[in-house]
Amino acid sequence: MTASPGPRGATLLRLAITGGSADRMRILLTAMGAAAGTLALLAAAAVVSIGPSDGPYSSDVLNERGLHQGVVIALILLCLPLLVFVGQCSRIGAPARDRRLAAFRMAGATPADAVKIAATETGLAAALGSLLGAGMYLSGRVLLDRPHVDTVTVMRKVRENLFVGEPVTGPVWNLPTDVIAPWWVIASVVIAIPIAAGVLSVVALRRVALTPQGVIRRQPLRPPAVLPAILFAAGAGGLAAFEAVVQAFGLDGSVKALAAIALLLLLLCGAGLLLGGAAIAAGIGALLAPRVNNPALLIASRRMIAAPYTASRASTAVLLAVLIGAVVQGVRENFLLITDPNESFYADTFSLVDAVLALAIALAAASLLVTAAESVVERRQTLAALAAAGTPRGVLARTILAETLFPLVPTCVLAAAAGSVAVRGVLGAEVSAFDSGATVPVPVPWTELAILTGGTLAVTAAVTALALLFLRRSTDITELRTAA
Amino acid sequence: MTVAAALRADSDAEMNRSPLLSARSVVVSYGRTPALRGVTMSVGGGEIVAVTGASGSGKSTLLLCLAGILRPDVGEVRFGDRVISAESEAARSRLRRREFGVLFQFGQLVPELSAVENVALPLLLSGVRRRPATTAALEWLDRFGIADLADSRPPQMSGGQGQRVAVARAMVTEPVVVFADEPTGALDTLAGEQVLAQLVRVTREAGTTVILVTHDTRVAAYADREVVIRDGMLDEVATGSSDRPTS
Repeated sequence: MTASPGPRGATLLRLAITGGSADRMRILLTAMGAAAGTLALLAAAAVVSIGPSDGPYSSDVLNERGLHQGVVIALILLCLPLLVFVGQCSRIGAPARDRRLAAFRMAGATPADAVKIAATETGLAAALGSLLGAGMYLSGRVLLDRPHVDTVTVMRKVRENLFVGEPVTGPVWNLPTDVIAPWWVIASVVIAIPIAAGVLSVVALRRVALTPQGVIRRQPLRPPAVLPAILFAAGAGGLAAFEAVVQAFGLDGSVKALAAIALLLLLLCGAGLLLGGAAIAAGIGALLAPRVNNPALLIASRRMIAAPYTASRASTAVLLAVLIGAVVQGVRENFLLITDPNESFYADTFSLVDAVLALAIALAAASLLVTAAESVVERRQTLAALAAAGTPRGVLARTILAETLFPLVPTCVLAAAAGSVAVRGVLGAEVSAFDSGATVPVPVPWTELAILTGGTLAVTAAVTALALLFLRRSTDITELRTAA
Repeated sequence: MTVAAALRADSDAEMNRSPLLSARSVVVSYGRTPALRGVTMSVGGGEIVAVTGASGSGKSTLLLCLAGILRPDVGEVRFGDRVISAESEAARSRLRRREFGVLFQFGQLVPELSAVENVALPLLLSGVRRRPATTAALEWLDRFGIADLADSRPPQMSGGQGQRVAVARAMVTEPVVVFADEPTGALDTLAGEQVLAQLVRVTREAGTTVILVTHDTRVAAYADREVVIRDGMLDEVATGSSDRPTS
């Protein structure tokens, strides 16, 4: 009998899909996330494929070629919360999977074999999802291809920076179903998503020691505080001073280069916020822990100190959504002043952007739900012991709510402030009004920012409360009969 | 007379009182699998009772019923004059928080809290302010000789140290009854005996009743009385173990 150096592909596959209901749920949600990501990327590819002779469409955003870049960026940005969602899904049923991986190790699998098994599971689920997403795109393109006869106004370029609206009557499409992304793009997306998912799952296991006795997660105890602060200050400060620097040094020659620099600064700001989330969580915990009388707050604040990355990981997608949302609100405020108020084009465009933003926040909230539920399940033994000792479930529920929301409130406010400052810094705090031509200050959209921040926090609180449904099951006394 | 003997004499006097805790015809099933089939027993104030039996015999289920954690399908559990098996979950939770202490084999300490915070937690849950709760917790840690671990978190402690913190936490509210389910099951022999000796010493000093579930005869020997469960039924009752270790 000859032995191969590692498990064969079929064995890996069989071991990867062996599991219980939590494992099946993880695979299902991962596949759904991958399907949605594939759909978003293929939709972006379809928009890129729209040529001058295609359409017209019922949405001005699709008719106006100058806006296609924005649509593509929005669809790609939508993949960020999806990516976070898939990443969070990989933690569903983690304790059961950890036990299974430990059992594989006990049976003779090497640590590399165990990592391969985990990566195969994620990659397989993502492959199923990306095939499903491609199928949905291709079938949707056929099923939704229902042009209707209508008259739409299409902007035609007369000369540089001058466009005129031209009414066109004929078949009008709601979506770009008359074009198709090139086959190699479709194939690349379908192949790239499972590979990326597999690689991400290997990266996620880099701090994990897979031993026959169990799975040990190594977490750095102290989150970095200086680097995120530098990134955030550099990003937000750079954006705040953007226009002033450009004007002072006469750098407004290349609009594309300036846009790229502004985007880079925004990314720096976002990275600072995300990395700093853990430091902020630990800081809040350290501030509260020695002072509070309330047992729920005591446990929550100690948890924020001991596992600051759990809180920051959960809020990644939420913070990105708030940051981009604040930018969008600022841009809207600016455009309302410099464009014709009777022209519905920009209002329609911003409504579409708002819808994408709402979808991104919903996805971010879904990621948070997964994190909160996983946090409850992971600590089921401690929670069961506390419940058995007479701790009211209300106290345990408040603990979970507090540890999720406390770090999120200041970081959400920071994200909204950074987004707002970025827009004012780049587009200016004063503009020439469309109607009078006079220079007027751009008002800060306080109401919209409050709705964005407050709404996001409210959705987050509601979603975390949903995770408490797992609490009763997780405080079952049977949890105390076995070692974790 | 040794300290242990004096304590035992006090305990015997307590035992002569009317039952503090009793189970009458208690039946519990998990689905179609019967765990307890009509168990009747009583425990006096200050008594230390070991519930022993093979794995799956129903001994832990009996402890859960007596502690009001599990409600029996049939029969009743009384604590003094209260029929706790008929009370709501909230009422039973309050009872456990105020009158009972619980000790388990696994996972009972909150890993994120320090030892002193873990011990103070039941007091905080009862509405005691942080400072007096911490003072009381430190006193209990000192009684167990682990005051130097006050600021350590459970993952930084040995199994024996963690279990002593758990005993301190069970005792900090000065409960009437302590329920211990295999409290030394995860410890080595020496650490287990040290924990048990301390548990027995402090509960005898305080006149606390202890229900101790174990499959280990050496652990059962610390008790005043041994109740054996076999296939969900009370099989025999042995009193006054002759080889009981002195605490």
